[in-house]
Amino acid sequence: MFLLNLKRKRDLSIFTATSLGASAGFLIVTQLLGQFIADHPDNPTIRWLGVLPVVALVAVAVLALRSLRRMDELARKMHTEAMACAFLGSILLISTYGFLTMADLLTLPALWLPPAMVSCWVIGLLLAIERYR
Amino acid sequence: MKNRLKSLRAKRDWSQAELAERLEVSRQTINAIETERYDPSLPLAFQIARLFKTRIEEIFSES
Repeated sequence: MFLLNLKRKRDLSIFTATSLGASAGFLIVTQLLGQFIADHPDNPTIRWLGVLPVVALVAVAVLALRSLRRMDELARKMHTEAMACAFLGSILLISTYGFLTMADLLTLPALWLPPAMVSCWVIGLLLAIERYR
Repeated sequence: MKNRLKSLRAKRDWSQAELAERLEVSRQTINAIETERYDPSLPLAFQIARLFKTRIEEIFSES
């Protein structure tokens, strides 16, 4: 992923599509997995499958940190800024979501959060690329 | 921060890609430094100075 030259429009499109596609795929798989677990409430082995998304998320986090260390300093700065944007955007979204749910104004499953966080990251990266172009 | 990286590179007739390879950074990093959109880290600034056999102050100056 980080071998792409994100200043080239084609590579940036591939990166954006892959990131958003992967997070959307994650959302679909976890929904299906959740449904499958709910359909077998008495099977303790199947209930353990609920841990699988956590394993995938930890693997993504480790991969992201390892990739960050391998980048050259400008790329690292751009991705760090993008992560800061994703972090702050996520806090804003989670707080808003929590407040709206508490006030009974919103009833959405929390699974939309990973794609929303990835979107914040992509937006942050686009802003960083524009700044250092 | 201002810098003379572009003129130093031009004197040696190096492309941005060539300089990037010598410094083990991306071409985008060289371009961002030359256009003064990005200030390099101190280790990279020292590396640049060593490569051009000059002092950091002769390459980088306060704007």
